[in-house]
Amino acid sequence: MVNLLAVLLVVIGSWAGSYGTFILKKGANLHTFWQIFRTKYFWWGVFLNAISIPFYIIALRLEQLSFVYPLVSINYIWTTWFSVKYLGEKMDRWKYLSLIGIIMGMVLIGIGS
Amino acid sequence: MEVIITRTQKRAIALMVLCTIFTSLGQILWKLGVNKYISNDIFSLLNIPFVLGFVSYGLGAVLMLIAFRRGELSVLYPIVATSYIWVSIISPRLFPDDFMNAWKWSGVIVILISVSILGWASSRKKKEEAPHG
Repeated sequence: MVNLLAVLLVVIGSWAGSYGTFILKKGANLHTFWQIFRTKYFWWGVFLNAISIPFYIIALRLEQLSFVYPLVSINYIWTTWFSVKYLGEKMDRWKYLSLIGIIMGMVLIGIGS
Repeated sequence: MEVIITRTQKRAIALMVLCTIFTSLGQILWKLGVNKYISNDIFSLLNIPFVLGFVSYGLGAVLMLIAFRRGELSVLYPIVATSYIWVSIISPRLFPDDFMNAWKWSGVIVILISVSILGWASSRKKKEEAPHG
């Protein structure tokens, strides 16, 4: 039986982590590697990624790693959405195909769990 | 121009794959550390595998940051899915209650193919976009 609390924790944690990743990318676009460590982009990015960790840790306590880990791939949906919406990146058929493939892979691993 | 752009993207993709090795190691170390946790004793989380998990994750994050400077987020971030391959291979060997079966192997193979398509299509697209002559 799947633990729904573990699923909810992963969904919230992945949103925070993805938003953090998007902010880090934004900072990387605007600053050099060494400069970025002194910007709000870096610290907000790290902070958001850090607060996602307790969600994953608690989920790991509730479910097997091989079940929780594939669920974290919800990250890809959030991150792709942020890339298109806020960074102006273009999606093409290959990117969609890859994204669908990754999610399918996640589902297969989930079924196997 | 064509060669430079393609190499840059390929280098960023290679950095992301290396990043996934460190982040997968971090996840596994956290799981090892969490297994040592004693109920109502938060300090029991201060064990070596748990702390090393943060170090490994940190190294992965630095590599990701370097890669981010060299490519699109929508291309580079999905490469993080390569982590499933490393974790699926290593986890059952370390945790007795974890196991691999046909479904999980199928998932790992589908992810491997998907990430490969992404890397290939990205390099191909850059070549097409680059000016000729």
